[in-house]
Amino acid sequence: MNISRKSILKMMGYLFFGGIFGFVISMLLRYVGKSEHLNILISIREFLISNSVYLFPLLFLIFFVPVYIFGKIGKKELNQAIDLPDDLYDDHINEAEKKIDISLSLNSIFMVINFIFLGMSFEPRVAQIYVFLGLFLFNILVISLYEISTIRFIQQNDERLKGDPVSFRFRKDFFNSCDEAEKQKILKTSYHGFNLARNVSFALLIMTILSHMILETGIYAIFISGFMLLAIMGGYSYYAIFK
Amino acid sequence: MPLENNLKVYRARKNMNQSDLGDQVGVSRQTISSIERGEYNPSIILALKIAKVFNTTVESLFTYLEDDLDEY
Repeated sequence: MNISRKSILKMMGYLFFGGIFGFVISMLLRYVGKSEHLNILISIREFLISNSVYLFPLLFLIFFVPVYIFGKIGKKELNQAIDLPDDLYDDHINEAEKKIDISLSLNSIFMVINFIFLGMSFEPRVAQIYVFLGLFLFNILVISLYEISTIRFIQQNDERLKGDPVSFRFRKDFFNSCDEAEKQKILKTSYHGFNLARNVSFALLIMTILSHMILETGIYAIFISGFMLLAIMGGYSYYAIFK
Repeated sequence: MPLENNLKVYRARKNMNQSDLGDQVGVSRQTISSIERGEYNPSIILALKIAKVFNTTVESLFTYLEDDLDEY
């Protein structure tokens, strides 16, 4: 193997700092793992369970109101930009699209947060469990309908863009209908997203291993985070080799 | 961006707006705008399509400036 001395030293440096980082994390986990600190986590979960009915309406206010406002302004600006002359069009359309992008991104975050809170505060013995589940489903329904309506709005303004947002083939059809510049933008964004997902998954895997070693949190979390990393890297390799 | 272009001049000569040109070559108005501003370098196929609309050559529309790679 032809590896320069500089590269080896660099790798040793990374290993050294990785060791220090691991040590700090283990100390932190040991600190958190002390019974009095674990009690705080338990009381947070109990608080979430006892207030679970208010949780989803609160999330709705925190997330969906900005989602709706950004979307409304973005759509209005996009409608106005279409009639503008070329010189003014650029700035206006970029601003309008940015707002719609923020709106859709917040909407996606809202969905993930809903699922996280469902998992964290689900307790079948609580009396109002059906109200709790009903509110969760209401949020998910609103999120889905909003996303579909926004995609339809974008498609109405640009008839080139195809795909039924309710179909499983939507992402493929939509991507295929984009022009080359739009495809390049999507691919660039996806590549950055892939790198972030890979790094975060790897960090999560290390965290779950350390927490299992120190706090005996079980192997389920290790399996899930490891599987996620394998899926991300496996997906990338599959497309690199076979597509 | 290593490409400079005079798409705007050709468009003005033909009294064509970005939207019309986009429709003729099968791309969005924004893509034409990005090309004109030098934010996006078109593929050879798209450059040829644009040149065909203006009945000219790719070289007269686009000028290669310097060896500058796009950053991802």
